[in-house]
Amino acid sequence: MKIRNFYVIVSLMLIIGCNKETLMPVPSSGINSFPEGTLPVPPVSKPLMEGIYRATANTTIFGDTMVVKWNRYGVLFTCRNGKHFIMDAGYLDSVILIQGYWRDGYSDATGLCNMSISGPEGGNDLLAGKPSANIIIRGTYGANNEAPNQSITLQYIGPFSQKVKNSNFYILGHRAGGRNSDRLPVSENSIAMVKFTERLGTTGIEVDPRISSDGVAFIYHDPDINTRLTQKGLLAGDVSAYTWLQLSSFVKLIHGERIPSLEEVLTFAIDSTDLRFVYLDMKSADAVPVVISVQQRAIQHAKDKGRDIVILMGIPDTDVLNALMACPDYRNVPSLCELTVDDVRMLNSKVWAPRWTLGVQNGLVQQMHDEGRLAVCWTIDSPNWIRNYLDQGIFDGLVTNFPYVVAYHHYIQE
Amino acid sequence: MVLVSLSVVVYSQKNDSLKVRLNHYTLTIGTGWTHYINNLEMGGQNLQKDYAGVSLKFFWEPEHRLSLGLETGYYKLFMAKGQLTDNTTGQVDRSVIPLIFLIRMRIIDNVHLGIGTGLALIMNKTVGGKQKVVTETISLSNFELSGAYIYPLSKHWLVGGEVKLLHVGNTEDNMCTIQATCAVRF
Repeated sequence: MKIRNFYVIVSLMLIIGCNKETLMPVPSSGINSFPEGTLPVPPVSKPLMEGIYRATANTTIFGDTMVVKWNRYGVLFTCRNGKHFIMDAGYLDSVILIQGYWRDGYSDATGLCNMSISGPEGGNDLLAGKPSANIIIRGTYGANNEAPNQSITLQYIGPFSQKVKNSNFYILGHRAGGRNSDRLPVSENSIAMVKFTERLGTTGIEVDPRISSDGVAFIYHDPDINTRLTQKGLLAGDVSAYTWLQLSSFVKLIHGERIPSLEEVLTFAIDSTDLRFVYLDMKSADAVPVVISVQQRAIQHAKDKGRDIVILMGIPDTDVLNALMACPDYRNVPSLCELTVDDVRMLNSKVWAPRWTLGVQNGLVQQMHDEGRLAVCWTIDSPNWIRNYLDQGIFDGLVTNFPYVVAYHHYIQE
Repeated sequence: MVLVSLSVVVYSQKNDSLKVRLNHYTLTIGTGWTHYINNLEMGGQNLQKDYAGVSLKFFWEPEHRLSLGLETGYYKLFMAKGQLTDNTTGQVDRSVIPLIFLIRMRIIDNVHLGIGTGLALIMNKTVGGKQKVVTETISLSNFELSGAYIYPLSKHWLVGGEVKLLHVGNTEDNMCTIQATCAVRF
């Protein structure tokens, strides 16, 4: 009898334990909230508010230092330990109101947050476009959807260093901003993620092009349709076996978005974001000719709109390399090569992108710099390694699933 | 799965009072009703979920309560036809051929419980969106739970019934089946 009970219990545990645990609740203010009744913060005020802040109350959870950085859609407060605040801001009279939610990149902790900068504590100066050394941000935060009741106070220490301001460092969101397993509120490799990614601190994205059976380039990481990436639906098997119409009609990504075409992603990145770097991490050698034509159209579109954005075809393996070399005029295709520096030179790639486990490789990176190329490193997620690579390396960017951690360690550099 | 396997192995070391001789082998064929447990998040309307399925099992039955075996079969999971999404019509069929390593234990006279894990070949046929596409995918993480009543008609022939739950890991499909079985022991 006992063994039968044990059998049943373990079987139940197996079934229940197989459930995915990839969702993290977003508090009710959502990802696109805006403080009601407020006016948009003037563009001139935003850089004056950016900088390094010291937490002077309740430093246990968030640490004693925060970086505040505006993006196209809102303002990011990011901490050393992976916690970050995804906030919107507006002003009313002389008060800047900031509201949103905080989350922890390394756990499922999250909560609502409301903050403000009163007129005498910096609001007046910021809204008048004047620098202020005495900005104090006061507010409260809570857990999950509970009303914020823990106080938090941030005291402005100073602006970003001149080194940071002068640098052209790229914070590249892996799969457009993070993996599904990172429990973000939008799906990896989706238009929604391209819209959301700057809120996480990215200045560029890495996405994964494939090709449909009828020759449409689309963005999707895995070779098959699976429940890691998609809502459980009618299609299964090799994703590239399906037509674009079938994929766009029958498949929804894990948070309900459609699989985007490469063209849609690039157009959105150019038209609706401030992203400066798009890394097309080719998942299929067959897709190379199609991706080249989409890439060329996107580059032309960016030129027409006066957008400062680089769009590079990533070369992750020799299959893609050979496919690219089979194309006419391949040395003029803007590319990013993950292989050796010799391959970089052969392809005339603009960027060398070694795997992070190979080390900082400052000698080779310097060679790339001397040749007028950039070097970015993929995909680095550990806070300690991120800090080490920023301190010791001379890369021009990092690909990461935790852009807010890279943002913290980058912007806090002296 | 490891814990369950270990518990079964340990418990099965008890001597079986019903043993006739060592090292039987049985070949079992089964057929019956299959039902797809619909957990589709998209396109789950207009779904045909009930079909007939067949299975084939080979077991080694030593002197103890434990039997080890391999099972395969063919199960059509579902067919969706008609208006598949808001703007697309078509037909989608999914079927599966599992190849499962089974551990089966006699709990009481003629009643057996089994668990198994193994491979499954998932076949998906889609007609719609301007093209017919057939894909075949190997799923590596699948499991099966089963309960069977096996009645010996003679020294060599057995008949019975079986209830089974099959989980296909790659697509997270679940199906149950009730089958009549016929086995030959040698």
